[in-house]
Amino acid sequence: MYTTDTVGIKSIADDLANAFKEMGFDVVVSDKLDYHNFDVVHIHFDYSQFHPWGLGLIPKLIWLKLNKKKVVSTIGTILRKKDTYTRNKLFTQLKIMVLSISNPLIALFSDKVTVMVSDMKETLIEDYHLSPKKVEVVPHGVY
Amino acid sequence: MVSIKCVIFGCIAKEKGYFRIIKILERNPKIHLLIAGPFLHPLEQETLDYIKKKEKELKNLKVEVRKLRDDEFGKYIKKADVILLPYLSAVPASGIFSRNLKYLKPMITWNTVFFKEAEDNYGACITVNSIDELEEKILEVYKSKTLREKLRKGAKKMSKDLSWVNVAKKYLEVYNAI
Repeated sequence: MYTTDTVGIKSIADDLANAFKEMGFDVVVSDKLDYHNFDVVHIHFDYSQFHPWGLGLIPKLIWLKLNKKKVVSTIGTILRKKDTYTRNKLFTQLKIMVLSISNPLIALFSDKVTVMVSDMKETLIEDYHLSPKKVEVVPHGVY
Repeated sequence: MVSIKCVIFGCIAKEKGYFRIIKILERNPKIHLLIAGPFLHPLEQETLDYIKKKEKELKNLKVEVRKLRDDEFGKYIKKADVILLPYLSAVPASGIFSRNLKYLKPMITWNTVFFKEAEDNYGACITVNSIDELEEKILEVYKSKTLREKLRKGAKKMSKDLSWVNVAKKYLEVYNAI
């Protein structure tokens, strides 16, 4: 599991990894992409960790694909275009524009994209034109 | 005078919708609020200034700006009557909500997609659509043991269904489908 977060998203990756360990799987959580011994790389992220708004993740995804890894990308938060906000209108427009590029690219270079709420799946399909087959909903676990 | 103890957890952010409950605190001294969480993002300075200013003005508002240890979180939640999540927009999967669930305390949330699903599928929280309704539900939850028990059952069911092992099994299906 790959995450560069140190609080919320990191704790999701940790809790999920612990559950997998309980089930007998070999799993690590790391902030480095060093996964030669693993079959699946599961990335947990929010756009702000890979600026500009997710585009920073694309080179890493390409690198993983070149190394023939199976990749699952879990997006923490995705809002409808109409609900997207930043510090001002100009930045909001810019963010929407970048997300319109980064989301399809994330989907292209991931084997699956997962989100935690069904409405977020609909957002990715309706607002960012991702294929419904590419996106799965897996809910947030309870502590 | 009766005092109803409410709490909002999580990092300080405008998205938490503090102003909604603060409006209630201004008119209803029976309702008390603790805001507890770390200040992580410099862009939220304005929000921090706002809640700190209100803390000085209102006797029924307390603000603790720091990251709570797990044992402190548990202690604070046990003391509270109601947990509030009056968030401004569709927070997709509030970690705070999931963390609260295991304590089985009543939660009142704003009507956003994630919380609505938790209410409809499990009865794990009560969603509201307005500040007046938020106040009304806080009072109702405080008074009604039956309602608190209903929420408790819902939270218990949701906690069981969405245990991390069950969530891991769902991810396993995703991995296997690749």
